[in-house]
Amino acid sequence: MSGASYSKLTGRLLYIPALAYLAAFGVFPLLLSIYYSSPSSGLSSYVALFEFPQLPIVIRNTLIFSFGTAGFATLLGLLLAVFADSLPRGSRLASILVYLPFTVPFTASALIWTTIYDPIYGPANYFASMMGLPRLNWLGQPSLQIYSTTIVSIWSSVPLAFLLILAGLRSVSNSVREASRMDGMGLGDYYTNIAIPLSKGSILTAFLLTLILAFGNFDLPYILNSGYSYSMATLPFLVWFEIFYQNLISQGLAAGVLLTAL
Amino acid sequence: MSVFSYLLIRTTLGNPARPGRVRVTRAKSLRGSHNTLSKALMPATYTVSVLSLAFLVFPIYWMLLIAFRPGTLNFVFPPLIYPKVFNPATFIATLRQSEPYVITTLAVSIVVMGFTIIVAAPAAFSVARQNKRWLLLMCIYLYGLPSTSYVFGVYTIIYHIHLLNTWAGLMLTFPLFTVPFAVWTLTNFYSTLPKHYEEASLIDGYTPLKSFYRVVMPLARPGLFATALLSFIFSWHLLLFPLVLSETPYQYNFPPTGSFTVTNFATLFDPQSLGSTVTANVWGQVGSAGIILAIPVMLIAILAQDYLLRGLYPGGSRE
Repeated sequence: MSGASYSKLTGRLLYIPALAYLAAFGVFPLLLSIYYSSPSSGLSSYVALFEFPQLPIVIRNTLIFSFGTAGFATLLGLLLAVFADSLPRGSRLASILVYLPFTVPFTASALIWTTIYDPIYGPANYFASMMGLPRLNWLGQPSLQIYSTTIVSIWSSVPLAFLLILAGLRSVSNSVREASRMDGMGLGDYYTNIAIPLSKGSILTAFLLTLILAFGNFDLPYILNSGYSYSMATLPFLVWFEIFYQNLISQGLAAGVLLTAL
Repeated sequence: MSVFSYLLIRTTLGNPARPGRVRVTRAKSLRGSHNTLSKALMPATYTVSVLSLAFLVFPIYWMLLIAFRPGTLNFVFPPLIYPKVFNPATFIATLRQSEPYVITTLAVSIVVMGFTIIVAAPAAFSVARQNKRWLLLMCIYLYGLPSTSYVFGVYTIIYHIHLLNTWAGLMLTFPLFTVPFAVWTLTNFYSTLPKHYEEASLIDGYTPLKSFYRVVMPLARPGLFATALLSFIFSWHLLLFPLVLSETPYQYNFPPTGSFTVTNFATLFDPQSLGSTVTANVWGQVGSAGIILAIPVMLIAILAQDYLLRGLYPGGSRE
């Protein structure tokens, strides 16, 4: 074997294990799920899915949940990142406090928020009444459920957006920062005109990443929706519910394909 | 979401704008810079930030509070939001109860962490140096893909190889979340490493493989460490796969069967699904289970903060 082709072969050895694994346990199951979504009866599962009266509600919920999460997480993440970046000292402590929710798994945060949302003894209503809001049944009232779920999701997603945006703000070089200070720019001017425009990329990344992750989030809507009601179901929940709970496998798989394709 | 996945790939892979050019454009617009937006920015930032910090920290505080107080104090009106009595009894009982779940999750997460690094580190190197962009695209796509869209396929495979409710079943499938992520972050990490050493080693007649293990891996240790920790955190957090693939807690046998993880453990205490069987202790159990789930990750996150911040940034900054 010649030296060049030997080196090419060993070069391939670098990525073949990863490729083989991802093909076998990622791409193959995906194709399998798509294949089984249309059994011998053709496209009937898709017809059933699109005739399913709750589908528009589920899609609406999914959009509220994912865009609400991404929008608010990015906005709060940006403000907190500017805050942490502008602090002369203590920005390390601020960062630790901001990313604390990131360390709590979705499962645990959903359960903790269940107690916070408790209509009688939960602190959510306590704080709401201090601000003059009426007492709410956060997880019980159908028109409110998806928004309560989205608040938990925002809570969990702010840290990720914060970390991404802070890294962007930090990558503005010190010479630019010092030059702006020498020119007599205030902090507000520095951030609106220099630092934020320069870290546009990381802000966009934060938005897109939180959006995509929220869109596929199963854990939060699953735990908070322990009554399995459609009024707070999102698409990933619907897929699991139909396949593993109701045994409507091909219809659930069709919903999965819809989820993949959207 | 395909559109947004595509946009994400574009933003993370796109070449960052040259700083020189940006600076010139900015300099021009500075003349009219003292607008209301920049005046309002800092006061708004400080106000919103303080409120957001309270919003972010309160549930964590609440978790500690309800875990360590007697159950009777949870059901008073108005709710007690400051510590009054310290009582670790519920926490200790919950911790004891969690043992088989913690053992499973630890074992699975450690194996997943090792597997992820062994598989993803060379692949990411291949993306960064041999220009295998399609592999990176595949990884970002799989990372963004909702896991529910392939979970049935995964279940079918694990069912047919008779690994349902085993540790091995989880160890085989969890890397599906960690490998794509690891390839992505490590690619970014490698592209910040200087090329001189490996180029020298290639000229000296090393094969790419040898140069990777002898030269690059040691240089990349901080990035590998961060990615390994994050892989551990990811598998510690997973719920959907153990929900679908596991049926019982660990049965203290070998080869290990019974593969409920800590996330399955926490769902045992869902006050909503317990409904009428809910006891005065259940909030304490919820808080305790939350702490058991969060503690390892919190410790890692606080102790290894600097490593993680480096590893956590997928795409973008090259400085």
